[in-house]
Amino acid sequence: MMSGPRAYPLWLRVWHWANAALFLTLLVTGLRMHYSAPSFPPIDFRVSHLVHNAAGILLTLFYLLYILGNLFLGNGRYYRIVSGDISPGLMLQAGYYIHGIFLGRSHPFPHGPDRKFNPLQKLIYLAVVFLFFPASILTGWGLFVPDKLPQGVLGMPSFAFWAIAHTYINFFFSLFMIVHVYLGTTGETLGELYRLMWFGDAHGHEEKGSPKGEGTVRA
Amino acid sequence: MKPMIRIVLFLTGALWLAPPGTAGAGGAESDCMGCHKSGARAIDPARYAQSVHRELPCTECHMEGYDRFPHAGKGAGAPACTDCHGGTAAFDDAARDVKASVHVEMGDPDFGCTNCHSPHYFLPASRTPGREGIFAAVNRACIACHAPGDTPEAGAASMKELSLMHGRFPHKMVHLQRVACVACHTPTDKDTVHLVLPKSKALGDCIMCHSGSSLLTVKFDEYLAEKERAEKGWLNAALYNNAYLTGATRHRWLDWGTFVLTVLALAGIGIHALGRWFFGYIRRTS
Repeated sequence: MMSGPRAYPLWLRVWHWANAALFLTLLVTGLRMHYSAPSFPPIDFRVSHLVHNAAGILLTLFYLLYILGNLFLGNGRYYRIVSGDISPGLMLQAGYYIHGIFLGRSHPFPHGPDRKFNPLQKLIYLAVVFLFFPASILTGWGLFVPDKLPQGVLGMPSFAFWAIAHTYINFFFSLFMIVHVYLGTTGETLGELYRLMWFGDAHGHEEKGSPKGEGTVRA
Repeated sequence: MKPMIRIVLFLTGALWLAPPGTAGAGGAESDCMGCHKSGARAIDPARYAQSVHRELPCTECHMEGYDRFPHAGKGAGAPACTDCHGGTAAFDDAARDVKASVHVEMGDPDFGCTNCHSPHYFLPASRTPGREGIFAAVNRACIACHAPGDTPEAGAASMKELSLMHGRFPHKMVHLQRVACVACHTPTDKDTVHLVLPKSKALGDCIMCHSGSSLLTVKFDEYLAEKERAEKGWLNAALYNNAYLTGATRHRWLDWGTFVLTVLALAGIGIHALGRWFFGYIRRTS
């Protein structure tokens, strides 16, 4: 049994998979609206619209809960940049993805009580969770309350600004998801990190890994 | 584009048309309704009670000879709308534009306010809930003549026929139901919705609406957002928010850029995965 706090408590796993489902829903319905064409009718436009709005509102709620979880349930500590993360951490981790992983080398930043994310992952997650995520939510809500927003942002009508910002921020978000899904396969085995994110780390799973313990978890 | 904003505000706002204090339900049922509830000269009391004139007694307009039965007057000769509503720039401009419209030029020289705005049932579009309600209210007058139908089935058939005449549109029925007819069928460079043009002069430029910088839709969506929050509450207004215009978020270079990035990401992942498999295979077999 793992000692100390768990890196993947139930609330976090529920949040993660709920997010995954909401993201996928938002992506499909969002693409449906953006590329709407009479010759592309797999989902009714109005259904897409309603489902997109509902999923966006739910995602906002889940995000607020995640912030509370980070503040009060200890998960926030994994996002803190610590000594060695930037240098040499970033280069070591990038080297691992470019070179070491093909040679079967061990993860340079194994999982431990104080580390869940490798340095590269930590930096990207910081940007994604605390920059892109709120930007996505805020621009989405901007479309709900266009009359309350500053008028004429960057010389564009405010509604156009929020709509275009929302669309393309989330295009980049979807790129993150594609890479995220792939990097989820880079644990000790292809499915290890997925199992960890689904079943949690309450059953000593991480002790079966490399001699250093669990490989760096990035899913 | 500025006149277009005014058109939309006129269509959707139109608040200045109605005097304050007429928002309450009601309208006393007059003695007239004893006879005029049915038959060819019937007035629907429920619809009249919703109309902008609901607080006016019948004899306010039907003046001479109508205060007793049998009526001394010949026909329901009523005063001109401008007798009450005239004298303001908005109504004078509207009256002038109607006279120059296709309805008068190519149709009926006597075409006037009441051909579109029923004095008994007229309600400003701004008093109807929701985006579709507003468009339905705005378009009702047009559809009454251009897609008539005594039954729902006949009306639907007429609407289908009308939609086929709008051949340029994809999603023809959506456009008919969610766009004010006068948005395209009046001049885009003048702030009027009453100067209805011949078919050949109707707006045919999709980009006037389907672009991110379309002030026409921006102003309308901002107006609706405020209105719907007041009517439905903020959560329902957000959930049922319909402020999306197909194509308005499209940007050619950004679309291409994200497509290329997605392909590059997938290609990079494919190469990386292949490399992992290949070197893993070599390690296992060596």
